[in-house]
Amino acid sequence: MGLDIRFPIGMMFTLIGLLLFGTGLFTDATAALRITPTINVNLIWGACLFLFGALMWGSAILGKNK
Amino acid sequence: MVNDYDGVILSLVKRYCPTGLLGLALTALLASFMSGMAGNVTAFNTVWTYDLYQAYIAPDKSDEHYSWMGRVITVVGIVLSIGAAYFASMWTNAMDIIQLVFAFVNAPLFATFLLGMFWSRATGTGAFIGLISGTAASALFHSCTLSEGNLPGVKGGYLAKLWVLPSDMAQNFWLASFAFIVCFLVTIGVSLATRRTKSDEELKGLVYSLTPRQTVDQAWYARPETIGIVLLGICVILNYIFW
Repeated sequence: MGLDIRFPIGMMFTLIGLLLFGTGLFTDATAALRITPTINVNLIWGACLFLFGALMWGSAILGKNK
Repeated sequence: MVNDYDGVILSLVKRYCPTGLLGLALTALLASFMSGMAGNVTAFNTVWTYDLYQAYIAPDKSDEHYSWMGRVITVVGIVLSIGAAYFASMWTNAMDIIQLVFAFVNAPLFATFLLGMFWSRATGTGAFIGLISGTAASALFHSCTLSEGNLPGVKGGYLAKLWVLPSDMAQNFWLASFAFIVCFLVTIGVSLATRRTKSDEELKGLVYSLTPRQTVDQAWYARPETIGIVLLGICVILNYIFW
């Protein structure tokens, strides 16, 4: 029928999630924040985006194999 | 000191986003601006070229001519929107100017659409005159009212200062209500006074009362009515919590 939209969504979110997670690991992301300088947002948000992308991609692959 | 409400998103992003997330937030903002602009520019040049230019101004021309017209009007539309941006900078936030424009244009349009969809006696003349009088009523209301702290001029009140409202948004909503009521009543009045041009057969499918009901086999929880009632209930609860 065409392109399953979950493929590009999944790929984009896993890539961005990985990039953010890496940024959170290798840079000091908490220093610039003025509100809560203890939470590493890049790490948390990178992990969330990666999880969402993986779910999308996974469900797209499962849908294709059905 | 005047609060700059348009700066809320930028200051939120500056405050809460470190270097990685900042890039993502700015990318998302730019992407939404671009897609909104692209959609509106496309709609503008399509409506102009097909529904106005080709239909009324220059029918029966070649495809290249209409293609050229579409390109020209795209440039004109973008220049107009740049001018509108300068005009909108006179208001403290974008929501005020948007609601003002909607009150002028959308409020009478809504009345016309409602009557056209649910009343088979509505006529074309009635709708047209109703729409014009609704927009004229908005202009009249706008020229006679003002909100606190504003000078008469582009914000209203240039003919008389009959009513001073507490805020810009209050003026917008009263404006919209007034325009809607005027358009509604005038459309009904003129429709009843003119002859019907379309029979019931021609209106089947366009007016709610003349369309045959569709029977669809769906489970009760998947039907649009059920989902609609649930969503309305959630909306009421959220309004109660955040009032």
